[in-house]
Amino acid sequence: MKSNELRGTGDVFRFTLIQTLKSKAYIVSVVLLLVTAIFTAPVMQLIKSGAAGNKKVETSNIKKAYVCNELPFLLEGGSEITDLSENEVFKKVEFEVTTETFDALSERLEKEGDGTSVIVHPYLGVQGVTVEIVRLGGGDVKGDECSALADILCEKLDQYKKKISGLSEEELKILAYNYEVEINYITPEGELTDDADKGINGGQFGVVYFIMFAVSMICIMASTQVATAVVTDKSSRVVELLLTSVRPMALLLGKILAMLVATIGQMVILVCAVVISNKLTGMLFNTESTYLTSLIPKGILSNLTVANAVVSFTLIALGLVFYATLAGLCGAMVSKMEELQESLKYFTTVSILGMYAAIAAILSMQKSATNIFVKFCELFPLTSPMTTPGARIIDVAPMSYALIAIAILLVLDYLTLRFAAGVYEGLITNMGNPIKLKDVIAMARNKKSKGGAD
Amino acid sequence: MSFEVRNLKKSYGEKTVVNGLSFKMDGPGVYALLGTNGAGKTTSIRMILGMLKKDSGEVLWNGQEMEPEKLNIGYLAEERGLYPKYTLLDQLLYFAKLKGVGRTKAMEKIKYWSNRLQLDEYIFPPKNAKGRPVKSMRAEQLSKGNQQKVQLMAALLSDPEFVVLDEPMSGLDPVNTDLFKEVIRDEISKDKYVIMSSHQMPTIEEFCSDITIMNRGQVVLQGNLNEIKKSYGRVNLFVKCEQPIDELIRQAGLTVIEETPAEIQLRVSGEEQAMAFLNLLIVNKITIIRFDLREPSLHEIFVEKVGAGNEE
Repeated sequence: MKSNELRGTGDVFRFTLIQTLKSKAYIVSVVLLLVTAIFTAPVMQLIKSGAAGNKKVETSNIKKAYVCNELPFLLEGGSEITDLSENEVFKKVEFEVTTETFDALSERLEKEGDGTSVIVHPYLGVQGVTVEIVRLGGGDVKGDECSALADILCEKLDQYKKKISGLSEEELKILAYNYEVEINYITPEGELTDDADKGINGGQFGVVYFIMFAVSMICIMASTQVATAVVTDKSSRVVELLLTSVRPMALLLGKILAMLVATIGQMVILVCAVVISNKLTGMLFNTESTYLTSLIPKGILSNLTVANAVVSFTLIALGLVFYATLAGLCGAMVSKMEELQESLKYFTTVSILGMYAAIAAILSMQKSATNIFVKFCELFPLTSPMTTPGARIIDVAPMSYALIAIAILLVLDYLTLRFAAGVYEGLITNMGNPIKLKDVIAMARNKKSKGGAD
Repeated sequence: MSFEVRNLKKSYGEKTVVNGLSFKMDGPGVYALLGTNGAGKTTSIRMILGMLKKDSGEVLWNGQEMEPEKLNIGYLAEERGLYPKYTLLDQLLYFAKLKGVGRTKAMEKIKYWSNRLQLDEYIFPPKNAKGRPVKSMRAEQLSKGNQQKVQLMAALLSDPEFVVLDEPMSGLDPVNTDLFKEVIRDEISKDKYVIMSSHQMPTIEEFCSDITIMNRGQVVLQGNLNEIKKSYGRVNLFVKCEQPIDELIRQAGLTVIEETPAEIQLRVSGEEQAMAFLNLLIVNKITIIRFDLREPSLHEIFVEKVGAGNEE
């Protein structure tokens, strides 16, 4: 690439970027994204605390609770679990252990129309212990109160079970241990490592899928804007004036970089707004862990080191340049804005292929994170910008793969940019019918430009 | 300094659109490229400016291969336009920046040209009724003529040493045509190299010293305009008399080219035949209002050359 081919790239970049940032479409979309981002965290928190708040009862409306025990291990008929004197909500509830049958008791409650009493009915079900609470429909007692009472009684039952087991706290802990299976293998270098065929978990899948989705969105948004900018130069017939100062390569590269910065900027603004909004929501609701934070599995981003961040960003940026160049090529093939949609079919086909392959790879990661298809997609230039950054961040793609993917993309970007600039140069003065792909390929072969004499 | 085009050729498949165009400008001045639509003028200009790859030939500036990006070129293209949605000021600053003109200098130039081309109200609109500044207009808000003035402005902002004007006056009203002519005259007076392409022969005659007439990619006539005209001789005689002179014209054996109420245009073989006809009029006591012996106009030369080419 000669230096004068790139002369003026900076000016084209600045002008395109500033005009894009000043455009109403861009401002409106940023405002909409900002509003969405700012309100997401507090609204979600409100919904969550609203739901929790509904469960919380200041003082219970339950005046009396009839305990109709059918559990064989409650030898005193249920009085073992009815001491709620320490509970602020239910301390005033009067418990009465009854020998009446559950059916008879229900009938009596209905007849008396007592809306402040409930029946506590613990029994042994198929799955284990069930604590049934029955209230009179339309009475003062709410369903949430019954749920809260049931939760407390379950806790009491648990404490009672531990008490009668005669085991110490340590023994009880041992009894509560869960089992986890871990299969490792020793590499030829003698290192102990995870099983190669292990799949990713739900949280990891979420991270990789989110990155793939975000990259795809940026890619489509930025690329179509590049194509539009390229056609605008031709359709507005400014291109001939520009070409006395800059080469087509500089025009194309300047536009690609400007649109990428504008679109990535939009995304960065969005992410920053979500983070700030989340922090403020935490302060506002006086909680360290907001609902939004709770959605991100703990430790999922532990592999997000500076090196991985740089590698991932480079991969994404190079991938975006590749897709944007393809879109620019489509833009170079037409001279009128109304023809662009037709020309963009080539870009759409390639990008959809890339996206679907990336989705397939990510889905297959759940079964095995390092299968041959995943490995292929981590290196293949259409899919590597979408899969490899996420895979690297969750530590399932080796650094060597990411670096090879970067090298492949670098070479491909250079070749695509050169080809696109060549086509752009050849067709820059073409104001006639759209050029078909076969013509472009023939043109590249013959190195002959299309156009018309005047 | 000199500018030279050597044997420029361009073909699209079997069709040759420019075939061996050569010309030279040894010093500042205006060189005209003439031709019918499709003659190859714009293709030649695009090759000269490096927008279109030439099949063969050379474009030399001071004896060296010309690098358009490095030379300060002002270009008013035939297929001209502006960004419709961007403000005029923004795009003029951009065009100036691409030419390496800094913002401060560019603003000075824009103000100068805006005033000169009577575009102030569009580029620097006055404050509104509330005293607030109003943004420069967008190109889409301007008439075609005013857009053309902005395009000329864009071409001249960097004070270029080499100016290419492709059909500069097409579509302009008489007032703006005069304004453009005045600007072009000024540029010529600054010792610039100007290449002009136009269909308007009187404009070319007004500005250009050297011409090339192209037809279907071929050069059909080339050289200094005055010398070309001289080579044709003074063969056009325009006569207006008070009495009828049809009989005398017949006696003198002259050919009537055109007869209008204002004058009769005759074809003579040269000055001697014209003088003989003048004597004939005097001897017959004809009152002569007008007797004007002229060289052929560029229009006539053009029609003769291009018309003959097209009849082949």
